[in-house]
Amino acid sequence: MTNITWILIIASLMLVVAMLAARRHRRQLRSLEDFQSQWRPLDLEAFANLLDPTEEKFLQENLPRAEFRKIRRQRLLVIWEYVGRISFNARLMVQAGQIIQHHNTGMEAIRAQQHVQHAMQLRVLVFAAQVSLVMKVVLPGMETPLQTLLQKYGDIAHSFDNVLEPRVMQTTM
Amino acid sequence: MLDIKLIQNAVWACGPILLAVTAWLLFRRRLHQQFPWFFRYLLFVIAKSPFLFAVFKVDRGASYFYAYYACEAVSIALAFGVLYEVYRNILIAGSLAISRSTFFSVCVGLMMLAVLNTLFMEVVDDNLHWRSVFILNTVVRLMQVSLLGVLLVLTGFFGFYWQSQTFGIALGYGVYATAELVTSAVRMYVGDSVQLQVNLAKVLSYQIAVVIWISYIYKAKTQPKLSEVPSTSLVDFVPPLERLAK
Repeated sequence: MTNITWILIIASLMLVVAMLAARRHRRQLRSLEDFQSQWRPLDLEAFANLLDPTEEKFLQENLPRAEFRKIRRQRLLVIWEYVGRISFNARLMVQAGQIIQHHNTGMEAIRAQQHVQHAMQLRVLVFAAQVSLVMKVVLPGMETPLQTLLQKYGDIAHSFDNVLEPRVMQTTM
Repeated sequence: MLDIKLIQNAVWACGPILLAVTAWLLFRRRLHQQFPWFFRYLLFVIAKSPFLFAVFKVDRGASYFYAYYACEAVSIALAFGVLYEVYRNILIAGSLAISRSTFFSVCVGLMMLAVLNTLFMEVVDDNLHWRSVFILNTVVRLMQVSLLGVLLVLTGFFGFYWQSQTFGIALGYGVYATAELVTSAVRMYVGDSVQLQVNLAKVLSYQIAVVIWISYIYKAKTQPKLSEVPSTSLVDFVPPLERLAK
């Protein structure tokens, strides 16, 4: 393809993206009610059960191979749906936090800033989980190189506890 | 038969009026303090038109050529300031850190990619000046479009919040930069037989950008009503995600 073709492709993509972005911009959060209506509910207990390796092992040992593969596929689809919801909620949290940062100062802005940071870290973790999930489907026996990634995010679980607790800090705002 | 030159001149003549309206709206809503680079850009472009018109009346040749492209260079430099402002407005504290040096590094990286792309471009024009102008214009516009593209991708991934006026500025300038990129590439590839159509497309796309700016700045009256962090627990999501990622 000639370079002008590439430029025309890039330009067309940008215009499509601009239209989608304009549509998305109209659906941005306007109020707490918006946030609550857009939030996607999630049954964490059910999600944790789906990820329980002992349960998967039990199914593998007690079901015929074809049946196990079918159920495993269905479980993976449900897990994918759950992870998608967490991803959506994390993006919602980033947006909510940034709105508060734009229109508030002092302690509320600082709390919102921490909230945004943690929500962004969660979003990255979700992406890693999605990649791992795809790898498990495509290459079920392969070890995924995500252990190092997990080590890096090992302290997120501890720092999340501080997000919802008020912290006394000195500000110059 | 439509007189393209007449249409182009009519559209061009609306430019300073629309830009003045944009600058006035920005000033009236006190947004010129939040977007100083955008305000300076608007004032410069408003002042540029009568200046270039005066130069054109005195000398239509080399003086006008150099004055036009000198003003273009300043406009483009100010436009990068506007894009930096857009980045700073979206990537606020707590999200991705974007200092001037980081932004400059990103621009340099994108410039290298853009230069690589244009090295293989076919340019029909034999005139060295025009070839240089077109190639430089393509590099700059590719950089600007890419900067906006990167920001859109990051927003899609993380869900960043765009204030109405920030979105309007980015959208307007994105439309204009994309149109400039396409017209420049077409002109390089086809030659000066399409010069009139290219000029009209450029002028029209700029006025569309200005109208987008006016509409989004005007709409920026209402602010979202969120005063405190909604009470949801993100910590509960982490252990199952970590288990999944193993």
